[in-house]
Amino acid sequence: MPRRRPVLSPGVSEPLKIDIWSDVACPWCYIGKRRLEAALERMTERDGVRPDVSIEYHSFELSPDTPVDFEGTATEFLAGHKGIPLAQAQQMQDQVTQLAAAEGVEFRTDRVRHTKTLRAHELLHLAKQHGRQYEMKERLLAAYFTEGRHVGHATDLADLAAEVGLDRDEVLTALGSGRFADDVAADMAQARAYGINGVPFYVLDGRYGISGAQDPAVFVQAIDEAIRTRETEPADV
Amino acid sequence: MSDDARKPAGTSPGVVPGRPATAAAPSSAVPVLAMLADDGAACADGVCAVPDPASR
Repeated sequence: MPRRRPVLSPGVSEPLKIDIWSDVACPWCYIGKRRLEAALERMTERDGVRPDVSIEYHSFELSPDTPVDFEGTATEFLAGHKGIPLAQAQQMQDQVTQLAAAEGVEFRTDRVRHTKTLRAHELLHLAKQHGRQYEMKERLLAAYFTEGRHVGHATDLADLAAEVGLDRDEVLTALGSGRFADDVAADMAQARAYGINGVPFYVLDGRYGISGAQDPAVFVQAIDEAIRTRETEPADV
Repeated sequence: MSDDARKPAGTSPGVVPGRPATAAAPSSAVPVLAMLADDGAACADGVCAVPDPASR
């Protein structure tokens, strides 16, 4: 029998859960992150209080066949992956770079060191355990897109993790043992079950989907809608 | 998965009123998601191009 979502105390309910499937080597995921943040800021200014949301990132490897030590630029990878001329791939990269700049994000495609992101995803699961996942995600995106840092090797990832307050040795041990590999695989399985084939992908309260890096206004409307309906409709469980 | 599989009937551009999914889910633990907006720009299969407005 359906039940209503639990009310912790009068007027206080659980935060709206926003689950985000995302990759590190994903420019739209970075742009989408900024746009969602802008949406939450707009709602804060409108309502005088920050919307009560809980954000969790989930793993989605866009190119799992990428070698950790890919030799070449991200543009060369794109050209080879799609079988298109290098100039066309560069044009595609430039377009996304311009859109990122409009969101205040600097993409340096000349610096990007394309790599397999499995270990970065494992690190994000470790960071989640320590309540630092959001900070870790931001650090990884900036490292990859702006700073030209390598995000495929355990030692490089441990350095970045230490910058957000995680224990470097713990990171090295976890990545060396593959402790979080099953968590990454579970996220990927969940994505497949939802039918997600591109990222970023947002799931609100486990039942509403938003695909892609939407305009902040769309996020605002969607979050409003999810909050409104959760207050009037029974939960699915 | 096709758009039709993910979007509730009647989905229109922009945000539309969401509704709980009632169609059969892929498994008992995974509900079908009600899409709250048309697809936005995304990366798929390693490609992250700017979407063509004509294809939206």
